[in-house]
Amino acid sequence: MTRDQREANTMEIAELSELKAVERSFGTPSAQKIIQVLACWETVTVKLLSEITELSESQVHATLQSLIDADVVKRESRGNYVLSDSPFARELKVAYDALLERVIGKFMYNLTTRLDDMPPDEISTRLDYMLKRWKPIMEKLFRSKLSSLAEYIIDRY
Amino acid sequence: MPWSSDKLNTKIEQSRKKISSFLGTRPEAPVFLCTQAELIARVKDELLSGGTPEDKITFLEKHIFPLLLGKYFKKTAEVWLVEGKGDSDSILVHELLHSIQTCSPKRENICDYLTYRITNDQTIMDEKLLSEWKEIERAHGLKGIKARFLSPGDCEDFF
Repeated sequence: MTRDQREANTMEIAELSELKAVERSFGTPSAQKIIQVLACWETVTVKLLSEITELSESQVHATLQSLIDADVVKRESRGNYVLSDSPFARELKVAYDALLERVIGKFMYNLTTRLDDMPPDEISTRLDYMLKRWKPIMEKLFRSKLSSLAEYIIDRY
Repeated sequence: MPWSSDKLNTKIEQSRKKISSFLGTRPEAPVFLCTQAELIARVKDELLSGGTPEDKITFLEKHIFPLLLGKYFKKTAEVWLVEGKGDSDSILVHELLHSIQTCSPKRENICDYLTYRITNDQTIMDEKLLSEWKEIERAHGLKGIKARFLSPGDCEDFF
């Protein structure tokens, strides 16, 4: 591994830790997942939230209610949910959006610029780690790239 | 069984024309629609027949195959796209570009950049990589990138 690569890895780990710390402040893992999606999409239904987060609809309902009580989320017409207009929610969206784009963008950059130097197993493992945590956002920001990466990994075996 | 449709054929023709006027080479690879299960089954078959161990395939099946929206199969020179997901302009153009790509290794980023230049889809590259490729374009011209794509050798070697 070159010095540049080591530095890139160190930065990646530092930013991931920063993101994890922000997410932990959201509360439960269910709340973290739901806020991720709401910060990414404008309005979302319970059904879609359940599909994207892989939480049951009753878990989504219960989590949304606690986020509504905390004035982080509000319910709109036709069963749509959005982040609320409270200063905290607005700040959270801006900060979280920027952090996510920076972290995930950096991750994708580091991965795609080193593709040919990494064994396909390592690429898969790194990608899988990110997808486990931030699949909704990665799909939103990099849907076509994810398919192109999957094709690349398969062609390397 | 993968299939075709009039709607898809119109779209393919448009993409072929776009690529042809952009690159000066027309991709003729046949394109089919399929279900995700069919695409995965075909990829799995090819990997198994190529000697990829079962445990690797199990891992890929769980974590990587579901990300695939389309694939260019070199052996049969054809493109398969997952209906309703992979039949977007950018995936179609990306796979058709692979079918006429000559450069290798480092095949992906140049293909992604040309896909971006043809479709303007920003979900194909992250911002930093995109700005680096714009810089390559400033330094070597779009003509240089196209020539690199269509010639043998490292796709990122412009010197």
